[in-house]
Amino acid sequence: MGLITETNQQYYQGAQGFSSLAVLPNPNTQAFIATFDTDLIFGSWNPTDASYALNNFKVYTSPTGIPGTYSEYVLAYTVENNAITLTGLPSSTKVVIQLKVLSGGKYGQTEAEKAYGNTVEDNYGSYEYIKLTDAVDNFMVGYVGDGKLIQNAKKSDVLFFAKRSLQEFSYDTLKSIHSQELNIPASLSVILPQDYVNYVRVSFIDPLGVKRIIYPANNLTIAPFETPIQDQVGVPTQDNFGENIEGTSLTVERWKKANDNLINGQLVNNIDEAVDFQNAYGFEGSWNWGRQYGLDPQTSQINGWFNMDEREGKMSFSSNLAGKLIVLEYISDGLAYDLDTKVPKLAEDALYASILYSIVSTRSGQQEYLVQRLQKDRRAKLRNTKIRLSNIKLDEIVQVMRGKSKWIKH
Amino acid sequence: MAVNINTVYQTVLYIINKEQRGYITPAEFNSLATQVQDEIFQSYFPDGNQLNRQNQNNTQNDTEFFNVFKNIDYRLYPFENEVSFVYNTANFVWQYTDPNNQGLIGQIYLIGDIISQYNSDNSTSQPPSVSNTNQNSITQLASKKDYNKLIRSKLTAPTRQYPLCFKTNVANTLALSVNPNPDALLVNCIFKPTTPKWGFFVGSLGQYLNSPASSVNFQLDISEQNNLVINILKYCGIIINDPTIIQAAAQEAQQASINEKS
Repeated sequence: MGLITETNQQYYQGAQGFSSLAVLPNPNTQAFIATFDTDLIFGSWNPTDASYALNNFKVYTSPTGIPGTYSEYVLAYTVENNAITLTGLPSSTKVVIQLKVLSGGKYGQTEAEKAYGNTVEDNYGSYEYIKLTDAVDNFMVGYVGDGKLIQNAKKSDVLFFAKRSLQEFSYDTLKSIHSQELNIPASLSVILPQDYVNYVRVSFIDPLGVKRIIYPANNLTIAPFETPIQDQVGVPTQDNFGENIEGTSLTVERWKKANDNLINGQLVNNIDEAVDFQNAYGFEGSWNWGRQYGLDPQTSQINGWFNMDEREGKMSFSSNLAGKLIVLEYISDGLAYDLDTKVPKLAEDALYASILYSIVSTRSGQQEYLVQRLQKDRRAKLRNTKIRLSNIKLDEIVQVMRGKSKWIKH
Repeated sequence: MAVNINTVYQTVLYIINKEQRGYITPAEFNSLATQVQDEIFQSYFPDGNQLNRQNQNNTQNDTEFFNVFKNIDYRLYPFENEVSFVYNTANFVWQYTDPNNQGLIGQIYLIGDIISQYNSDNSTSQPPSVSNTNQNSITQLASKKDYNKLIRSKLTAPTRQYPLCFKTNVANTLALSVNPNPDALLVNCIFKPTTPKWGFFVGSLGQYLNSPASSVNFQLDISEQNNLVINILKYCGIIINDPTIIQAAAQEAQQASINEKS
């Protein structure tokens, strides 16, 4: 049996058509069962109800089914287990369930009737992935049972190791698909995304839409985790509850006010900045910060810097980025949302190998040779997965190499 | 198919009456029948465990009819039934209520797979996590100790897809506490065999004649008829104090057991 259960119309248009029975049953109701990969979400049938916006679909009816004759069905109906039950429908009426789509679908006659949303787009490309729950069920079928390496395993153990494996895969194997487009406010800091684990790359977007990589400030500055207020002799002071009184960080303030040109080497024809630099670092024949010892490549860039403010859970940026558009690419652990818990099919085998190894290696009394074998197996499959997900294509490498001095014949 | 109790009784009487050894009354026979049926029924579980080692070692044969583990598993079918548990709102647990008042289906002997059924959730919570699909989820039965650990880990905390349950008791009957609480609970159970009974009426000569209407057949599968006769004979030998019958029956039973397990 093929794994694809949706029709082409369901996948591409997000629509499924039905025809009501010529003779309706008594009572005069009929259920139409949607068989999309996406479950129907139902808030209300009534367009004037606030919950109506929760629906991820719309229902259209037509007496003939001819294009242009459909209109939205706005009478009472119920939805249960993906079955929409309509009452009092004339016989042979054509019914269409349209999932919300960016284009609004082709059945609504007016803007209000269009099914605007991105439910259909969420499903596009879903065949690339397998749900974590399906992977757990598959593992129980294929790897657990009498006569297999794992004679028995609690489902909770398998689930635990599956989730742990997905977390580990998310950190260094799977593709990073999370990114946020943000504007840098005057405060020069943005809050980390809710499912943020670590950044991959931070870039600002120039007027051409090209990414310009922003680099971490690393040793240039720091956002102190604690900023206790000290008394005259340097001892931190406490409040009435015995806790240290915290102030704002002067380091952060200075960094926010800092003129980046004094650090990155953009001092050409700007005597004022040169004077500032002289005041800051002294003037001994060299120009910028770091130039006393020659140009420092890591600071010689004009894109700007970011640094992590662990205390406030924010990412701070250098002052030249104020008002700029940035894109933050980051990794999550793959478990933040239900929709997240999916595994690329290219990594499915590695996931099974990882669960298998984890279960066997944490059991007592297992032969060490077996544990070693499974460890090697896991490592090999993980390496394969990395190569697969790296998307290394010969033609693309050739294209890149064409820009180099040496031609590669192919 | 169940074993006819009259066939067994007549066979037993025929064997022990040979050479005028003695007679077993219906009341004695009914007691022995209950005892032997329970013995055979309870032997399935240790025997199944022992024979399953062949499956675990991959030394089990793959024949259609000569796989003894499979045959023992098959013999459990009269006692296996998937039943609905009912929610006890006072104690927040699920319990089995015998619809037949312990008639054809006796009490639960063991519980197997547990399926939690969750109806569609039509709540309109924000963000829209509203799902309109029913779910039938395999439910993991954990010890209370494991349960307490599992619910504390965010990776294994029970969900509608992976529910957890533990067993407890209410008024000395089995109760299951399921998390998250389902809308219905189906449990695959092994039930205790019903009590066999050779029903009779007194004939014109004062003899006992079988009354099928008031009889209850053995619940065991028909393939157990031979075992029933042999094991009842063993006990009959004790009642009529005849060592030769005890010895012959015991040897026969032992030989059958050895053949089966070797």
